[in-house]
Amino acid sequence: MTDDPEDQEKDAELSRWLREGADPQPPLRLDARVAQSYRRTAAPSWAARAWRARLSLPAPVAALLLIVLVAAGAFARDVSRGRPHGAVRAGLARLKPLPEIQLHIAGGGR
Amino acid sequence: MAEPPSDGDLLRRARAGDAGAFALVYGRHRDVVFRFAARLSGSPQAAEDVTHDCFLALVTGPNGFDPARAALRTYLCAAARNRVFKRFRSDARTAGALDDETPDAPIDLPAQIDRAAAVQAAVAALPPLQREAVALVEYEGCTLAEAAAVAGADVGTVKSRLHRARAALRRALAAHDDRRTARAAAGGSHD
Repeated sequence: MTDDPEDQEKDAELSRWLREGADPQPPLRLDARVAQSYRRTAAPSWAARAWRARLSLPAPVAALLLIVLVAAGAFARDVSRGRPHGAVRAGLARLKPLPEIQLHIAGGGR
Repeated sequence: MAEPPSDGDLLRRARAGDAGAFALVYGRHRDVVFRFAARLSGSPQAAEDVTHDCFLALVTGPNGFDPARAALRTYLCAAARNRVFKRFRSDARTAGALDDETPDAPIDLPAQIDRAAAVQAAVAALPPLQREAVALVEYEGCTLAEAAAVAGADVGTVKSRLHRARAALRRALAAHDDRRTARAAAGGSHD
């Protein structure tokens, strides 16, 4: 702290004295206390963890999954609207339409 | 060999709920925060509370740590200092001591205690701002600039506090040595 060599020597001697003493040591219970408080306040609940969860997939797998999901969605929509599915339509192709029906209304008493 | 993760990295992960990252960052800095708080407060119990609160605030409070501005050690020591001084301010007996203008009272050490105990007692008897400078520079090996960052003061102020503290400690320990020598001589003359 000073340029005086005598003072520097005294400072060095004082530093040695200061470092001779034992350092204060944290008690063992501190670690458990801090860890418990962290878990209680900082670590998120399972629901929050699930919400923030991330899934990493290779692009081809993701694309395949997307196609499957879209196809499944289209199929479910067709089924729910009562439309025949593509396979059902192919099965009906050979059927012929019935001849047109003509209605005759007979008048009463004739 | 992979670089160990930086404090900033670990802290980000700890804030996101990674308990392992929190344990790592806590393990790196626990001892220095506890030692500094214990020397500054003079109470292991207060140091335990302060250390606990500092690390919890680090991950649950607003993110005030900026790795570009200071090292995490400096940030944590500053947080510990604020908490210890808050306790001092709330206590009427110590509130007035947080002032550089307060004249230094001579430190009186009993002759019965040995050198190591006398050094500890002398440091504990320093005014808090001087004790802070001694704890940071002498015990934790901080540079004057780091100590100034923790204390929120300029380097010249910390240097002056350290100079006054060293002078007071040297006087107290020299007087203690004289007393012990006189005591030993008096004891010897009775034999």
